[in-house]
Amino acid sequence: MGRITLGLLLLATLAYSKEWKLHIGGMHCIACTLAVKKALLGVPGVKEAKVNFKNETAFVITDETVTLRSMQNGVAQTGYTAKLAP
Amino acid sequence: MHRREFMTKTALAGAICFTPSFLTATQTKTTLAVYDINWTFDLTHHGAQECSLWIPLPSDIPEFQSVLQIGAASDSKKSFQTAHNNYGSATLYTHWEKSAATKTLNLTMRVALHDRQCDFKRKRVCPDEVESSQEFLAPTVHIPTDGTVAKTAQKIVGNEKDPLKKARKIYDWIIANSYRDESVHGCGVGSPNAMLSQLEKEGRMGGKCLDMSALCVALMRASSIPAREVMGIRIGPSRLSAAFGAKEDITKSQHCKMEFFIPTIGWIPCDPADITKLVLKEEIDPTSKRARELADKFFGFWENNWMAFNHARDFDLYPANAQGTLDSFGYVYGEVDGEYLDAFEPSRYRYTIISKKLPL
Repeated sequence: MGRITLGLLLLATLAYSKEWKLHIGGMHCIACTLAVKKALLGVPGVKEAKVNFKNETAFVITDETVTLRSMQNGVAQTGYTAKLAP
Repeated sequence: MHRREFMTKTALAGAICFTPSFLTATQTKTTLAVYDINWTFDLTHHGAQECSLWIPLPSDIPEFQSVLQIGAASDSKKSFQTAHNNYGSATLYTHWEKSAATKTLNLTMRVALHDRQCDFKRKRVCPDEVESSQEFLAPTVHIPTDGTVAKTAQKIVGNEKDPLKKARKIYDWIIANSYRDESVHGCGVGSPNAMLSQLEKEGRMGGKCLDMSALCVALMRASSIPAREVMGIRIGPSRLSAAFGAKEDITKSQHCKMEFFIPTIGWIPCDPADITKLVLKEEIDPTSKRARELADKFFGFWENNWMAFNHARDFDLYPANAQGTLDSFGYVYGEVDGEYLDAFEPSRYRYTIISKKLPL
């Protein structure tokens, strides 16, 4: 029974995972990716974030509660900008 | 376990394994120091992730640094030395696949160093060297030579025409207007504009060695003096001050110096940042006799307890990394599954660097 509940929970979590591709502005060196990643992971509901300096992008996996605005606010606090990447 | 090992140069038995030709007329054996440096990594804790390292290596610098041996042993399947980048910076590249059960590397280096002391006497400089120095007048992403940098340089040098006197004015101005800020991460980011912006707001500039060296380089380039930062690491005690020295564990002893070029002399070493460190560590006034004497000495001098890596800035690594252009290369650069691994946090790499001075 416990295993089934756990499995259902896991499925529910996966089902509500949302993937985002963001364009990050203002990064001037590779070390900036660390600050952006930290900022994104600080937003409640963000599960994973991978930031790339060369492409100026972040791939983010979140739960259903996270909005673009909440991530933009988080990133803005460290001096960078975020918007949906094309 | 697949284990790769290689060794370059000749590892000779005994401490003194270099030729007398390394000495020049202006140097004496008393300034000679030989060090064994051991840099170990263990990235096994990153588990089933791809790991790559680009490690800066020392190269020979006439009359200052001679690399006697470089050796590496690793359980990676791909590990090689290269200097295939815009600055010819010697690099050890090591890559572990996801499946590697362990991810370790043991890098050893033996380096002989002399004090590098410029006598400021005119000499014949090879035309090729004069020509190649011109590359270090150009701006890079982090080293602008226009805008605030150009205006500040003009204010400092005024109507001075002699390049050596202009360089000295800039060097003295950096020391007079900056202070060492211990809260800065690593060697700093090396952004001249950030330093000048701070000066405008606060009246002084706080930073560390890369910040001050980069500013000095930018101001010199803006004054038509070829200049470049030189990334490196302190590898032993200093004869001049504890502020300039290191103990055996040099894991966090990275230090950036700089040099500039005068066509009638050649490349001239200097280090404005270490004077600000002296002032902080010895709690002395920047205008004190001791600070002024050492400022005089460090205009044209590198001590033999510091090993140079490279003068690369804003360049692309080889093989190419996932994150793109690197701003400087004084620390190991690492990626785990394409993500940057913080170079200022040795624990992420589980790396230590140990340096031992050999008896002569």
